[in-house]
This record gives sequence, C-alpha cells and structure tokens, in this order.
Amino acid sequence: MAKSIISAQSLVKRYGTKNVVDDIRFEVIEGECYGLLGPNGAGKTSTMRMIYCSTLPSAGELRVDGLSVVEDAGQVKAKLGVVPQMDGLDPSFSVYENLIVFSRYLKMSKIYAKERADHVIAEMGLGEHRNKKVEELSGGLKRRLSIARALLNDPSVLILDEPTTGLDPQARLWIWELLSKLKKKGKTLVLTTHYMEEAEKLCDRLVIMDNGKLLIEGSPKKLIEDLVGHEVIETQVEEADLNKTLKYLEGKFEYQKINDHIRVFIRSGQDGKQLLESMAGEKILIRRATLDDVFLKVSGYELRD
Amino acid sequence: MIKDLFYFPRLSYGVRAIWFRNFLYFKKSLLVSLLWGTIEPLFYLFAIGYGLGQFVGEIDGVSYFNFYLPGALCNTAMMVSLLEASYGSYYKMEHQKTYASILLSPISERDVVMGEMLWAASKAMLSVVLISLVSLFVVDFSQFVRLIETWPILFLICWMFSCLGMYLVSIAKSMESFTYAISGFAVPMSLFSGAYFPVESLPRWGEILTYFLPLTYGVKLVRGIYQESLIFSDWLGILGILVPGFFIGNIAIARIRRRLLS
Repeated sequence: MAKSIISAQSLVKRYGTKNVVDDIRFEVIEGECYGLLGPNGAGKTSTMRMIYCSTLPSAGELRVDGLSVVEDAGQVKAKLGVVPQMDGLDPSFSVYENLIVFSRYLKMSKIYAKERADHVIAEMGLGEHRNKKVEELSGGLKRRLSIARALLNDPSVLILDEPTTGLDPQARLWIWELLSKLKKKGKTLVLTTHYMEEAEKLCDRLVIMDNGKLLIEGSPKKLIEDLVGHEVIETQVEEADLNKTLKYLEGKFEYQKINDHIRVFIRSGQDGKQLLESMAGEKILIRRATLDDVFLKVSGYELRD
Repeated sequence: MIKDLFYFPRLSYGVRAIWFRNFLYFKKSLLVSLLWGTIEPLFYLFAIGYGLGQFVGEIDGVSYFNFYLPGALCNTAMMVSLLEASYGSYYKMEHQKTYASILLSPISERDVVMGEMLWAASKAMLSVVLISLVSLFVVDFSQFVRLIETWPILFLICWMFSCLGMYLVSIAKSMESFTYAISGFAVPMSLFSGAYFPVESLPRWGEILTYFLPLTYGVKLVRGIYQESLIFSDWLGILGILVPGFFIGNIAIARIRRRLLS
C-alpha cells in the first residue's frame, strides 16, 4: 500500500475575512510528483507555505510524515527541501558560502557539509560559479542554487513553488530533466506551476485550485480523458454563423465557447472527422487534447490579477 | 500569551547558527563594521574625555578622562547594539528576506530572533573591548584590569539594547521608524544617563527622570566598578538592566514570530 507522506484535512488559511485556502483536503503519496495548479491567487503558494511551516494554518490539520506542521515544525522542516518562489538566497554570500551557511542551519557537521556542498554544486552544474556572489548570477543559476540548497541534506520530499517561472526555455528544460531524475531516485516532489506542459510532463497526479478550493484531482492523462477527450477541434466562427454552428454541436459534442472562438472536445468513440468535413472551409484546427484544455474548462478563462 | 513573556533565553544550536551567519558576513566587511562601531566612539573618547577633559579638571577625585571612560563604554554598548539590532535586523528581515530563507531550515523563529540579539550584543561588545584596549594608551595597568571587570555588566547592557532594538523591529513600519527611536530616545539617553557628567548635577526633577533610563543604572555600575566605589544599592541597578531586557526581549520574540508566520 502506498504511503501517504503529506496529508491535509479541512485545511484553511484565512487573511482577514478571506479564506485564501478554503477547507481543502489532499494526500501526497510517497515517491510521486504532485502538482498544484491554478490561476494567480488560487491559494497554491499559501498551501505550499503551510506545508513548509512558513505560515500557520488558520484551521484544519496538515501533517508531513505524520508530524503536525504546527507542533512539530522543526522536525517537519528537517524532512523537507524547499525551493521558494523568490529563491530566498542570502545575497551577502557566494554560491559556496550560501550552502555552507545553510548547512549550519541544518546542523550538519563541517566535514559532511563540505562534502555535500561539493556534491550539490556538481549536480546542479554550478562548478564554475562556485565563488560568484549571488547578485552576479542569472535567474536560471539562482534557481539552480536554490535547488542545490534544498538538496543539501538529501531530503526525501522536495517542495518547489513555481520552479521554472521566469526562466528561459533552456533553463526550464534543464530543470525538468533534473526533476525527472530526482523522481526516479525516489524523491517525493510537490510543485506548483503555471505551465500546463510542465505539469503534464512531470506530475503523476495534480489538483487544480481556484479561489482557495480544490476543483479536480487526478493524473494528467485521466483528467484530460475524463474532462476533454482525446482531441480538440478549434474554430473561429463569424458572428452570423455562430448560432448555426452551436445548434449543430448541441447535443452531439461538448464544447467551450470563448467569444467567437469555439473549442470542441472529441471523446474517444466520437468521430471528429465527420465534424471536420461539415465545418470545412472555416478556420479550423484539430489537435491532441492537453491539460491546457482541462485547465481552461475548470477554472474558466477570465483574466486574474 | 503570558507564557511567551517568561521564556528564558537559551544558547540553542539554532541561536549559534544565526550568530555564525552574521559573523561570516562581519568578517567580509570587517573594516566598515569596525570603523563606525569603534573608531567613532574613540574620537568621542579622545575629543571629550581627553581634550575637553583638560579644562574640566577632576570629578569626585578622578580625572575627567577616567570619569568619562566608563560612560563612553556604556554609550558605545548601547549605540552599537541598538543600531545593529534595529537597522541591521530590519534590513535582513524585510529587504533581504534573510529570515524567510533561514526559516526554510529546521531553525525556529525564536532562535532566529535570539541569534540576532546575541549577534548585535556581540558586535557591540567587540567595540567595547577594542575601545578598552585602545584606552591603554592613557590608563595604567591596574585601571585596565578594573576595566576588564566591567565587561560582564557592559555585555548585559549590550544585550539589553539588542532586545530593545529587536522590539523596535517588531513594531517598525519602515526604516524611518528607527530614526525617531534613535534621535528621540537613544541620543538623549546617552547624554543624560550620567556618561558625560554626574546625574546629581541636574536639577532634582531632572535627576529623578534619569532613573527611568536603563542606561543610568549601567553607567553607575560600570563607573562604580571602574572606580572601586560601588555601594550595595548600586548593585540593585543590575535589575534596572535585567528586568526590562528580559521582558522587552520576550515581547520582541513573540511579536516578530507572529509577523514572520503571518
């Protein structure tokens, strides 16, 4: 039986009168990659911060490996490696010094700390930047240092809050490969992200949050199949033809209308070709269904601040 | 919570780790740190104690330099620890987000604040020690030994004002808040706590007011030890340092902890 490593029951985080995390429950299974997705302000970061004991839950229970994040914060934090959204590096120090200073916080012996610092510097490809000050590092390198620090005491659980936000495609790819490698080594990963492609690639299971609530949970593949299907036909329709098109789709196909833009979800067993032919001549595109479609379906397409 | 108010400070692992972080940074910026923490008080000591002192003559049978020296050490203890604990800590907490990243480790919020207090006190104490050493150019060896005997009290002063500095951090809205506290409170205290002249020479009401300043007790004790003129009631003054330090420190810890965990 798979062991639950993080478990939340009726978890609430309240600021003033607003519940930014509103009575949620979830379990993270040991060894899996678990994703928290959602638009800005959905409550992802607050949930993450409660896991790594940087803010206290207002109500409910949150346990990491059976330990309470409120009563046993020190022990909980000792089990986690955390990569926060803003990297949280100490700008007064060099790459190597950042790791050595942090090793002190982790109560590591001097010899072991040096060994581990050298190890994670090599693993993160930071060798040639070892003596650079944090300010001199690019965004990608800073993130790598932040991950290196999280791995310093070889934790079994890694918490990553938007690990690839603000990075260029190369740096992002590099981090994806690293995270897959860490997962293969048996580490549990919990991550938040805005990139559906990232979640689809990395996560075994994920939840989509909005307004502090969990909307859906499941594996990316299953969510896509259950909520969208296997293909999506996208089309743009003139105002005049809109009603005709919608009438045609009604009852036969599930669709989402975004202004003059229609996405038709083709379930397995349904014939997308027939639809394509009947709509021939219009601006039309058929493609594989993705997590993006799931995301837009469950959390809507209004802009968030 | 009442319980938070009576927490007894402990030199836990976390506290030492925070101290070490600050020490490492201090080593990198040694010259700057020493300049304002030590050289500046030395200027005061020699301009006022030595220079101006020539015209003052003696107070209670000792030269003005020897009268002023214990006061100058107390002022240094107060100013360096207060500035380090307020500006220094606030900058780390709010601008560099150093505390947030330390707290990713198993270290507790309480240990972070106590580590910062211990650090600010240590840095101020280093200035006190260096100034004591430099004063060897003027004082003789037996006087220097008595100066060393004042160090434990001076360290308590350093610690007390570190606690006060951290309390200011816990209520500060921005860096400017500290300017009020320093010019409105610390500077007058350094002038009227008896460092430059005996508080007895103030009008009676003024003298009474000085007993509301914790530094007054510090100056009395340090000077008393240095001049071997302590009487029993002076020793009670130690409570005037310990009691406010203990409670202000614990209030600061509880408040900053809440702020960090919000």
